[in-house]
Amino acid sequence: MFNPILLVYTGNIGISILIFAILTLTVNLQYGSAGIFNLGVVAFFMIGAYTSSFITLAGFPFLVGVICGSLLSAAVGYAISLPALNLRGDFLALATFMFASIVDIIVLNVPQLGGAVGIARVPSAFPWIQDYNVSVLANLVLAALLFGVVYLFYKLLMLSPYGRVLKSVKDNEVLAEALGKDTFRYKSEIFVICSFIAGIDGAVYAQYLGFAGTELFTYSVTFTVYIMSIIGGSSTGIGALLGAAIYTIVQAILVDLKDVVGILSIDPNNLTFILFGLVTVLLLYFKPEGIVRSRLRKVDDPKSHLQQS
Amino acid sequence: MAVDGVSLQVERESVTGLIGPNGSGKTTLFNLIAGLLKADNGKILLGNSDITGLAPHEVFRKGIYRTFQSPQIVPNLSVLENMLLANSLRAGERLFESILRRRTWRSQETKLIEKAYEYLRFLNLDEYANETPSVLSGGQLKLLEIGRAFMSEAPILLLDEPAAGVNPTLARKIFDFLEHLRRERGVTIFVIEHKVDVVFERTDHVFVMNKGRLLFSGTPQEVAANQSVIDAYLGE
Ligand SMILES: Nc1ncnc2c1ncn2[C@@H]1O[C@H](COP(=O)(O)OP(=O)(O)OP(=O)(O)O)[C@@H](O)[C@H]1O
Ligand SMILES: [Mg+2]
Repeated sequence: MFNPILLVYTGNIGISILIFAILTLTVNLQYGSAGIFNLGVVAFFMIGAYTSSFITLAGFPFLVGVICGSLLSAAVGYAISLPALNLRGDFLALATFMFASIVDIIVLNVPQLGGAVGIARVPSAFPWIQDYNVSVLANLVLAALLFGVVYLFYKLLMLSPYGRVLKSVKDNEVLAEALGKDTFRYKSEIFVICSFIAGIDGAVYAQYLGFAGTELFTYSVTFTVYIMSIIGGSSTGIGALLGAAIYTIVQAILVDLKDVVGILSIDPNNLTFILFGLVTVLLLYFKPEGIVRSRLRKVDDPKSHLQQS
Repeated sequence: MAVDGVSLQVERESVTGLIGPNGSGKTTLFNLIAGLLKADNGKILLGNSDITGLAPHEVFRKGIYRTFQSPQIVPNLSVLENMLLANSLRAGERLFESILRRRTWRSQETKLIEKAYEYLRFLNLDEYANETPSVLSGGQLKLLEIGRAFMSEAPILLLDEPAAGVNPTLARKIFDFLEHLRRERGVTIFVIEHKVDVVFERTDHVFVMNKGRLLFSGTPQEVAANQSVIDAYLGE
């Protein structure tokens, strides 16, 4: 029952799910709530990971690393948002995608940033923990806490008048403007906040793996996260967790079928991508809102309530 | 050139009508005032301040609220929340305050919800408060559009055919209420309307547009008697 190998195995999958669920939540917030089609998500994840890795390698504690990483990511997000958010839909997607490619190319070609080799021996957030099993548990708790905080933030935001404005910005920008909402400011705030969150997430990811390299931060991360978002439901918080969980678990099963059981002869990661590519297309066609859909907020007349009671 | 050489002045606390044939540029003029379109040249003044070239949300903040001829909605919000959107909740619509000052905006919102329900009842829409706007008929969407204008509490209302497609009794009620807003709260109303009897009965002053230009300006009586207006618009 309490087989430590099994526990560590599921623990690692859990961490992976949570880290990707956090990134998916940023997609739900940007794309699902505000209609910002940011295809450069991975760049902000990467900036957080790399910055934090360098800082912790220089001897600073993880907290310093994660703060610097997320702040730099947010700052870059702000700088990008100024020109990018003036672009409409497709062009915004293209611009952010290009931006992520540029970040990737720069890191690949500057040896001081790790180049193609990446950064090895990234210090753990828990340097005092020697036991591997315990460190997996600690990382699971860390990822769960971070997810919990981001989830709560998402929930509170979307249930507030701010969330209401975001929906109007997404669905009817002309109306939102006519109703006095500074739509550019809203989009830019969301963009920066999401860059910030992705930065924290990246820092957590790198210290957990003990490594940061360009192969971890390819454009396929962005697409994976969008797939998770669409599957789970891009307008709910819990959908992000669900989408990340389904994707990650299926991927883990396919990996095991090849490596452990040996009945699979193709690359399981590619197979996952093909499989979910298909599922996503079908889902977009038949159930575009994803597995979990958001419901309308119902509010009764406070006055008639008083009269009844 | 959809609108050219139009110069007009709407008096404070008046009900001013804007009439003219289809495609004469009435809606375009509203779009110019509201900042949705940018004029190639010319100026828009609010009192003494120049509001030319402001973004639509900035025009709103100057106290000008415009309704749309074809009703605009946010499909993923309930009818009630579509109403609430028109009134800026200062704390609730800011990023951190929406989370950290929940008590403040919640108490503000409760009052707004009460008010929204009052208007929805007035417009016979209260039973749809918690439905998506997609269940509303064309005329009901028009009512939602005008309901939002009431919610905004803006001192200046630009209403683009508020009663088009609305049944006569309710249209009457709406114009009565506009009259009330003007008298009790000093609201300035600039309204596009095709039904000339309504315009002549309800407005203090009428502008007539034709082919993107201002054709005539005067009291309802003067407009009704003017030959060029009759030729272009009133007929007979
Ligand atoms: N941005 C624009 N640039 C050039 N022409 C435009 C533009 N917007 C609208 N038009 C044209 O200007 C004309 C006036 O349109 P507008 O919507 O202002 O008419 P209207 O007076 O409101 O008519 P209706 O009574 O039918 O609502 C139309 O012929 C339209 O095609
Ligand atoms: Mg019009």
